[in-house]
Amino acid sequence: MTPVSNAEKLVALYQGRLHRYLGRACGETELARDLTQEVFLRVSRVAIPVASENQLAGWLFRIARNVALDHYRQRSRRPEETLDGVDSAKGASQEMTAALNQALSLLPHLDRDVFLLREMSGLSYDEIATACELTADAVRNRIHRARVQLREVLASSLTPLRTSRIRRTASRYE
Amino acid sequence: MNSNHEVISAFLDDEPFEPQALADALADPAGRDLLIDFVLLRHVAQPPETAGVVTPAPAARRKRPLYLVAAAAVVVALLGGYQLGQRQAADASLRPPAATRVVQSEPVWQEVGGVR
Repeated sequence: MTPVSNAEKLVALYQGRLHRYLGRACGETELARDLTQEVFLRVSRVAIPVASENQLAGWLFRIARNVALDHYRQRSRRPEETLDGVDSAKGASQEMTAALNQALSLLPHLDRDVFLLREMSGLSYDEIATACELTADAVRNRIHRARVQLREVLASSLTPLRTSRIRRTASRYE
Repeated sequence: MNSNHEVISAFLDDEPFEPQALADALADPAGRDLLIDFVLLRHVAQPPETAGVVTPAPAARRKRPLYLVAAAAVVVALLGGYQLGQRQAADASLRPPAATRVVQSEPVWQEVGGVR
């Protein structure tokens, strides 16, 4: 992997993936935009480590995770704001989106982040391990556990989809 | 839930896995159901721009068909010619007509000399 040392390159490489992760993590598209800006603001204040792209992704998403955690903490002080008012994704129905967000909110923070970093940002287990300061095995275990739990909570929502026609999701997150 | 089914997640995520472990997991109907539900879960979780969308490779610049370019040139030429013609016709209406014949006229008075 080639080292990425330039903040502009970082923005170009990861802006979309960060926005998707933060969008699902905080539940609001507009807020996700602000939080993405906050991530790059924090990045601009520190020296970007000389590292491979994979390691850098982990480093960047660790910052993103901290930004998201700060947001959770602030929101927990304002209990009137809940995930009920989230934006709906275009593809999934509003109900499904609400159900998913509800199910995500039931997961332990770390499991939820591990799941979102994989599903929304397409990070590898190694990258997630760097971002969450875990081992790759722990990531593997937590992702599976999160999926199993989400499956249980969303069972009634997933059943109708079993009869619909979908495509296998390609591993493209850029 | 069988913990051996972790291999299904690894398979789904393009992470390294043991083929035999996957075969064992998928031999179990519960494992197959799990795989399907995990795919559905991904479909639900991912935004529409990434879920199930095969992103095309960056599109190469497509050549416009030559006949379209030629047709466009003809239209531009016709419109330009029409405009030019209109302008010239307007100019012509303001100009006096060119002479077509010369009319000679005789003076109708006579100079009378010596009378003051």
